[in-house]
Amino acid sequence: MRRALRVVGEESSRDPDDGLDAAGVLAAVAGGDLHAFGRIYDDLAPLVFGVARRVVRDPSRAEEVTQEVFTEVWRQAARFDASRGSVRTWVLTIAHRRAVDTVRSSEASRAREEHVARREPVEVAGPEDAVVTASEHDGVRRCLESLTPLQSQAVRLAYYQGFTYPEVAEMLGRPLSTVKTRMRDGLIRLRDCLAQAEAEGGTHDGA
Amino acid sequence: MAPDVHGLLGAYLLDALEPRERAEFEAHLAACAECREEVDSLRPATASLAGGVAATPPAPLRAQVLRTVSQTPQLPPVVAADRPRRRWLALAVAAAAVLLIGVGVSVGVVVGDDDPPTMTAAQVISAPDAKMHKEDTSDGELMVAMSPEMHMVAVDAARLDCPTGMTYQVWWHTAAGMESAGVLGEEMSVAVPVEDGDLMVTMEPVGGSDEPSDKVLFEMPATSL
Repeated sequence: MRRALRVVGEESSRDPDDGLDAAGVLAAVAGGDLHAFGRIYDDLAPLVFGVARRVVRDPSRAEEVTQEVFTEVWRQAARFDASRGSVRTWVLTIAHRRAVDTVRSSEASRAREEHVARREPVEVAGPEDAVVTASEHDGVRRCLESLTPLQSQAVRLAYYQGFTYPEVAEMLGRPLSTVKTRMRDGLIRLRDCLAQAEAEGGTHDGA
Repeated sequence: MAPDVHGLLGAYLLDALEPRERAEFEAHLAACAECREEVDSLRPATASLAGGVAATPPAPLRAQVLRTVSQTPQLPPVVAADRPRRRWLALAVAAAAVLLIGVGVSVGVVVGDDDPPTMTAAQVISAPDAKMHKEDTSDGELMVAMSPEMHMVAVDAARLDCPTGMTYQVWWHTAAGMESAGVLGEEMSVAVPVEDGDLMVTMEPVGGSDEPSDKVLFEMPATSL
């Protein structure tokens, strides 16, 4: 527990410009260095597992997803392109997609479809119960709150619960085009808010 | 960029597209630098959403993951592959040679200038010694068959639900790097000579790609085929 806190803290203070350090470690991974791979795992496993658990719900399936994600990181390490983003972003992109693909391919997806069809009120999940530094948690939460309600709902339903945009549109009773647009401008606002928070001095890195 | 595709950018980043739209968007992305730029600029913010739900994984998972990867082959860096077509000739000649010294299987191989071998997947699949692998993929069932006597592998994607504008491509990952072995045409199957390496099948835009996409449907060393 304590270890995860520390590790995530280091990671969050480095990212989004984790660049050189993590990219160097990943280059060693690409050369088959298991020790370097262990460092990447220690840095990012809480985030990968957290996303997987949030999206697929079932903890044992979340473990499987985590294992698949890191196996993919190992396989693809030589193809990581630092010019297109940080190691952390790359790994979390793989993680979220794998989690979403898993939940959609499972039997659970049928139940989800019924859920959408019935237009039941949905829990719009967000950051919570996290083993993560207060700073990162707060930063993401504060910036999510800076979104319009519709932007925030659309982003959360898609990211944290793995719904497709047509499902989100149905749940929120909004046109497809509106939901697509809100997802995109929501992410733009999120990006700008996080950048501003960082510009204001790495701010809340007090953990 | 096409406005309808551009509109999907946020949903793409949030993995909120159905497989077909995702494949279409990625095909578009490959050709649109402006779109890639916007995707890249929004990815860190998207990934930061994970910060809100971090959770400590069970401790034994670490050793399990390390054990798994220690037995997992790594992919080589992506290299621009402008050689595949010329390479076809060598492969076809090799395949023909195998047949000439071979086993009385009456299958002809036409060695053209640049043409892939004309042996069909059906011929390989129906070989008496063919070993079948059926893989359940997110697009449906993929069949791969290997005939040691013919020294050929057949890939049959006829049962897959392939998105419009996309197809499947077969690769050999050998000590020499990643090489395209063939792109599936309208008949959705292809036969390729066996090489000493790992066989991969990926989804690619129609016409094939110079390097494999991330969408890997099948991967297996030749020795296990």
